Amino acid sequence: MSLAVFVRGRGAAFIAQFGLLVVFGLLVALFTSQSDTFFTTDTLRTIINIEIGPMLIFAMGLTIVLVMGDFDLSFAATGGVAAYTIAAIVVRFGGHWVVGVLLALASGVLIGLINGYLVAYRNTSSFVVTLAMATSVFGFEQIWSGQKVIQGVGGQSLLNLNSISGIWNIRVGFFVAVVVVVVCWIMLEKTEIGRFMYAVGGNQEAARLAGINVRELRLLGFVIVGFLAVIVGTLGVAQAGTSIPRQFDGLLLPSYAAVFLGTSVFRPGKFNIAGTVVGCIFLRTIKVGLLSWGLDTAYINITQGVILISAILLGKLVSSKT
Amino acid sequence: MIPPVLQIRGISKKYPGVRAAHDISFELRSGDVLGLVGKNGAGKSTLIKILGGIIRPDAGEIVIDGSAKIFHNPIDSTADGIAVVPQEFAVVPQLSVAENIFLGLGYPKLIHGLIDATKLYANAAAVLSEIGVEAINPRHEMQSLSIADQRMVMIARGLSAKARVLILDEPTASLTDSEVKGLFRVLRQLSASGTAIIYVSHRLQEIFELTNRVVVMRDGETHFDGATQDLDENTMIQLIVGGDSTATIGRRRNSRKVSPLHNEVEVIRIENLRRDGVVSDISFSAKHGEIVGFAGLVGSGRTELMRLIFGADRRDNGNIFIDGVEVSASDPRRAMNAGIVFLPEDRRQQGLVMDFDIGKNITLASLRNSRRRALVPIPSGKREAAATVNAIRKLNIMANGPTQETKTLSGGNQQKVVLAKWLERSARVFIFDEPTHGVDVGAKEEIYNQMESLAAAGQCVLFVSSEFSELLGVCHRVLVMREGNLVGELTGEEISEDRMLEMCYGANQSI
Repeated sequence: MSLAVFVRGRGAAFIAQFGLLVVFGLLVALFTSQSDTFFTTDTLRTIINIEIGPMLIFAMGLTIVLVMGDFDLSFAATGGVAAYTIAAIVVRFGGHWVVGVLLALASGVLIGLINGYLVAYRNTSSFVVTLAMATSVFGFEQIWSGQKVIQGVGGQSLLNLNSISGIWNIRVGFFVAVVVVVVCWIMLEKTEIGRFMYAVGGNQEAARLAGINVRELRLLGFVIVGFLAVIVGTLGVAQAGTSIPRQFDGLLLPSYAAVFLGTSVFRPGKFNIAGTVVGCIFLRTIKVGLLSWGLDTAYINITQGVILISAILLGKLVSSKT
Repeated sequence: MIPPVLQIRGISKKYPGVRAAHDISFELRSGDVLGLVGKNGAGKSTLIKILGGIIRPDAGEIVIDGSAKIFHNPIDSTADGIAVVPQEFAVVPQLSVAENIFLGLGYPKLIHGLIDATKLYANAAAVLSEIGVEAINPRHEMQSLSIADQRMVMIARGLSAKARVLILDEPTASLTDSEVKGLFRVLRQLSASGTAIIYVSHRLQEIFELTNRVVVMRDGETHFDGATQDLDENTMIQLIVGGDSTATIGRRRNSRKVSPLHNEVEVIRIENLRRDGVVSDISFSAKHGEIVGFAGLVGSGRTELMRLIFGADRRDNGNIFIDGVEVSASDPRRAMNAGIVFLPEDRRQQGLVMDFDIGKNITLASLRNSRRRALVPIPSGKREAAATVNAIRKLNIMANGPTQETKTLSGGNQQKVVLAKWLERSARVFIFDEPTHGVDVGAKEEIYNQMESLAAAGQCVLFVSSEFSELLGVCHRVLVMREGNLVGELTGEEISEDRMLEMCYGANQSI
């Protein structure tokens, strides 16, 4: 039976919903057969403790704005400036980390408010506005930091986010990510706000004429993204004890990749939290797996790109047949 | 004898359930100015689209200068000398006038293949002066021009395509009197130089002023083809309306079975409502249990008025009162909270979230009612399902259940879903904008019944329709709109299709 026949047949719905999970299983099997060190608790702990948290939290905010049809390209820059703010307050000014986190939160929310105001209330393109915002935020960070690394933030004191919890030696930071995922899932799937956000994404005019405050919701989306980006920044500082200029730039496109990959599971063609979670796990596992083969990050980037495009194409193929 | 420029022979076009054009035949000679008239849905647009190569007829042929042609696309039709100036422009606003005129007709080129701008502007200036509008600068951006001038540019475009036949669809919509005069001067000049013109308009005065021949269409057929001077206005209206407009009985309600009003309490009052250029200073009120119809031709401002009342568009002036309380701002949410709901004309674009299942669409405007606990904004799945099942039963929606995808429903059932969404809210004023458009007979009857039971429960219904027979069937009172104004009111036994149409066309009135 050729793939085309299978896709057109009964397999279509299955592939559309669970194809990515099958591919994931196959890849894990492949990595395991090729490497002695891959299928171990150490690998799992690496993924959980280091790799997945920041991407997961970024991707949650991203899922929310994408559900409403908007883009946000500024979250990585916001996370970076948040990390810098906290590090600078603690190390340079000798302030309490709480002050740093509060300042960072304020700036993250402010960035979200500006993005949201310009996009939702001034009808500008979210793509352009948030790209410009990312550029300017990075500019500010450059000026303040002089592009220098700040070290010695003292990860243990910082809300103990990097400490090892009693549960299976998992770091506390991971549980923060879990809480963010659960809260976002409840908001999008269970509350009125979430329903309205999906309605805005589905048909903005129908939503407006049904009395939904479209602008407020879109603004809220950007504020959530800004807020979550600061949480990522805080986790980053806590984890490494340092703030590095453009610390999270490398996560911008992978976060998009994770969210779009997520549209190929559970609810084909639609952004959804559960799918995003799968997308994040998938991409991070591949990264760790390829690293365990000793491959250069360049090849990892290429592999991730190819996987994303394949998933999107397969999704199109399947949805056009059903 | 020279053959006619254009001969239309037995053109027919069917859509599922509708005979848009049936055996249409007429011909056009050089210099003819032919008025094409008929009410909404009479088949004029279909015919124009066929002539313009946008759609292909099921049967019949188009003959130009004696040879039969088949148009696969608009390029073919342009190449054979037919130029259409559509109601909605197909211009590129950011390009210059000259670039728009020659768009797709080929720009003059220099030897190395680049556009010869000097020649392009010179050619454009020549065409523009040919139709006597030298005042339009060919270098200006299209979007900086007035609507009237943009229309002139479209005519110039037709001319430079060497059009033998120029078709204008409602060209005077949103034009001022002096702009209309300018347009007529150009058209007369073109006709004198041998171009044949098909002029489509709802404004009968213009037909009498400009044309030498008239074709009247009704229900997809030609009902008159002859010299304009053989008709007077009343005869023309009779031809447009049709001797037996009840021919389609069974699909529509024709007998009045409207129960009389018992209560004189005013529910909604509109004072001097205005949106510049669209709706001018409209005032009316409607009573407890009253169904008020809004008749008018396409573009008369009915939908625009309803959108103003609901706050979907910003109003420039005017006040709205519900049960004596003013509805302050132009905002759908406030209107809904004040007790107004609005079933929009275009259910796909404005009424439904197509990705949602039926249940989520039905509860969208009243999700609050499904809360598990009054203060927690989390809807209960059970309550939502119950509300949906209830609505499905009440409105006879043909669906498997609340989780069926909305996009898999038929048009009529989709419309019932929109209706159900609004019935879930307890409103005072229900605005129905073309609720039966593209809806099957059974669903129509269901929609009429719902309007009547809303009225019986004391609510007030504003009902916009282009099918005047249904206004006749369910309304206590009909208001007629023309060009953004209220121009007539018919109550009770006065309501008839003929009277509505006369008022729509402004018959027996000096303008």
